[in-house]
Amino acid sequence: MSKFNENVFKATNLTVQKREKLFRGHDLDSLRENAQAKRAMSLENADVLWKISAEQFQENGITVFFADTAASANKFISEKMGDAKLIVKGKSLTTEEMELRQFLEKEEREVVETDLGEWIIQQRKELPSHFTAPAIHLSAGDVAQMVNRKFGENLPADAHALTAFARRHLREKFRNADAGIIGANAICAKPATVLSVSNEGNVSLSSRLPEKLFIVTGWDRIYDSVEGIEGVQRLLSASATAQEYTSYVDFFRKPLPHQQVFLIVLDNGRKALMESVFSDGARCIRCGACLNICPVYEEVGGHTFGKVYHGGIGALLTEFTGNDRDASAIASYCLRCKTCEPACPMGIPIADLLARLSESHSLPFYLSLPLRMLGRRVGAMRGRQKDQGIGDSPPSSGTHHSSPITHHSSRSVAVFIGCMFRNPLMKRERKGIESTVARFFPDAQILDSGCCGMPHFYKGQLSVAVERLEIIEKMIEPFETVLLPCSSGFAYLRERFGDKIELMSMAMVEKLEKVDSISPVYYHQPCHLKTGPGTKEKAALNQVITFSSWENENRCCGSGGTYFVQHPFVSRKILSRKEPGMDGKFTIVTSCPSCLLQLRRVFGRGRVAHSVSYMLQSATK
Amino acid sequence: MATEWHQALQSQLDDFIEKLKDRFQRQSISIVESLGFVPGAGAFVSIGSRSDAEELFLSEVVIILCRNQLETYEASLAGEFSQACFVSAESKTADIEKKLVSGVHGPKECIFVEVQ
Repeated sequence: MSKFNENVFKATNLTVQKREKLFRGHDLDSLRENAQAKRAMSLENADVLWKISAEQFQENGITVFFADTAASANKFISEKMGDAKLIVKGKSLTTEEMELRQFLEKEEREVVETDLGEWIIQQRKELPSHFTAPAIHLSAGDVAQMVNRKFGENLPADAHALTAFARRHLREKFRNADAGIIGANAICAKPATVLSVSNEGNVSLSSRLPEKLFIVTGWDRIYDSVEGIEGVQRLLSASATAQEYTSYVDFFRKPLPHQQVFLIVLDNGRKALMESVFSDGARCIRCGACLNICPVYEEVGGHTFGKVYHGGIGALLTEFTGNDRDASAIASYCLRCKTCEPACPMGIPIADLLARLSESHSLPFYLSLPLRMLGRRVGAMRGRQKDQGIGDSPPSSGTHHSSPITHHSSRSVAVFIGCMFRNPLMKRERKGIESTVARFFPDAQILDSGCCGMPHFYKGQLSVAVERLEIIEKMIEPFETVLLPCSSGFAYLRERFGDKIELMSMAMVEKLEKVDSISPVYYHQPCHLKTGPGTKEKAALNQVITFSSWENENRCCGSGGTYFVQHPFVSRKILSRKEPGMDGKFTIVTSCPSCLLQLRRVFGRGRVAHSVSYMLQSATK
Repeated sequence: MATEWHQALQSQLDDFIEKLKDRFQRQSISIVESLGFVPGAGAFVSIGSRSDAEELFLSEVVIILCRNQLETYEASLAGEFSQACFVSAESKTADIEKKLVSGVHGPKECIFVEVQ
């Protein structure tokens, strides 16, 4: 594992742990609900709210400029800068999007990034690699090397020494700057107030010492009033840096006596995003919580995963504020594991939005070909044409319930087997499911009509996915309960059809006695069971299986359906995080067939079992 | 920023400040008043001029006098000010390997003194 990977991996994991600790004991749900409601309502009324706030800011002496594009914003700022030569700048993703620093540097102005992380990457001529921690990919050694080479110092690889140097270096810049540029996290319309959060104090200094202040913000940063804004700020701080309050929350209403203040409000695709089917994405507050928890991000970092906006949400933001080719590339890295969704303070359904985004970007041929071939190999659906595998269209009439074993005595329970159990590599697991049905659910009817449509949905083949759902809806209509042995299919159908969809492993627990195993048994939590009722699977299985504790049980395995074909190296890196400390004889139990196949790649066939087969085998003993 | 209550407290604070001066080896210390404070969270400070900002952000130690207790800082937002800052801690960063370092740009220490 390279040093680069380890830096990102360690930093993101540390933030996640800190955040979990902070959130313990807090009523997070109500904080989120209130903040989400405030944000949604404000975005709906953005036009009116901007009008109100702009009028008030102008009355207070702040010049407001609405820019349609990054180019017009840059031009305005350049004109108002006048002969300013030294400019101190706070961290701002919006200005990164505008490439404002580069624009001003071309005019032979000295623009100094003052956020420590931004300053470091500016010296290294790199782009930020995280929304809130731009130098997350660098070690203290990397920073020391840069400082010693560039400034002729002889500093050790020590965060304190390096920070002290930056303090001395930047203090003079603050004192002598002609102009300051900062971003804003929120603009409240009533009373007109700019809010900007920071820990370092560089925002406070960049904004108060120079004579000219430029506050750059996005059209989507508007809020109705200051009432409730503290809740939004607390949620932002907690999600971004695991703090309830950052060291400084700065507020601006009027210029100070020595100041001229300009507020630049950038559209650059934001209005289009807010009016599109992707409008949920406009609620993003750029906290980066989704990145810290993303199994792909923690392996590849931000530079692989987008230019300015990273991760799954980054693909969407880039689609509207950047160019299409970038968005498509970023979106392809997303595992669709949905790990990010519970972490998002604004409740943005990132994976679902990316499914829609994928619909508008067809995969390049070199990616679609192996996926199609894999689809034929692992998911060839019985009764369908030879070339119809996972990711292809289902037959137009697919309501047949064909099965080698079909029970008709009661129609209250059905078992929807799912396409993954038709994979030849899953023959033993399929047999286990059929035997389980015969033994524990003798009255259940097996629904053996193939795919639930989830692979189509997350690949962006929405019309096919909808067609599958319509077929399944009719198919399951007569039944009170539908059991699924596949956790991904369960999570997908449960979201759409509610309580009648149950996970087979959880349903069979009550029919079994607890069995102790001689060798350790570990639980692997599939990503799709990290939200909803599936989160209780381990507790349920614990009634039957005595699980040994495994530090990495919740960690993604990198399977992601066909992801390991699309991005094999990333997938393998993610998988390698499951390996440490796993020696000797043991069994890993999981309910996801895709995870099961992936885990077998490193642990071998004999060490990884499907939950249903494992419990059946234990009961039989 | 001086006010009557501030002056009355001055003598009581003198000893305290002398101790601080020893402790911080006579580094620069500034004292600012807050408009209100939220116990356990921080204090809301109005910034009306460049020198106010310099006092709050350029000394090595800042002492914030707190006497008007609030439940949330939003109560302060209802009032009049040009610019302000809710201060909850010293200037700090974790940008290098997530190691927390105080005093990256502003005060290395921030002391809240509750005045009853």
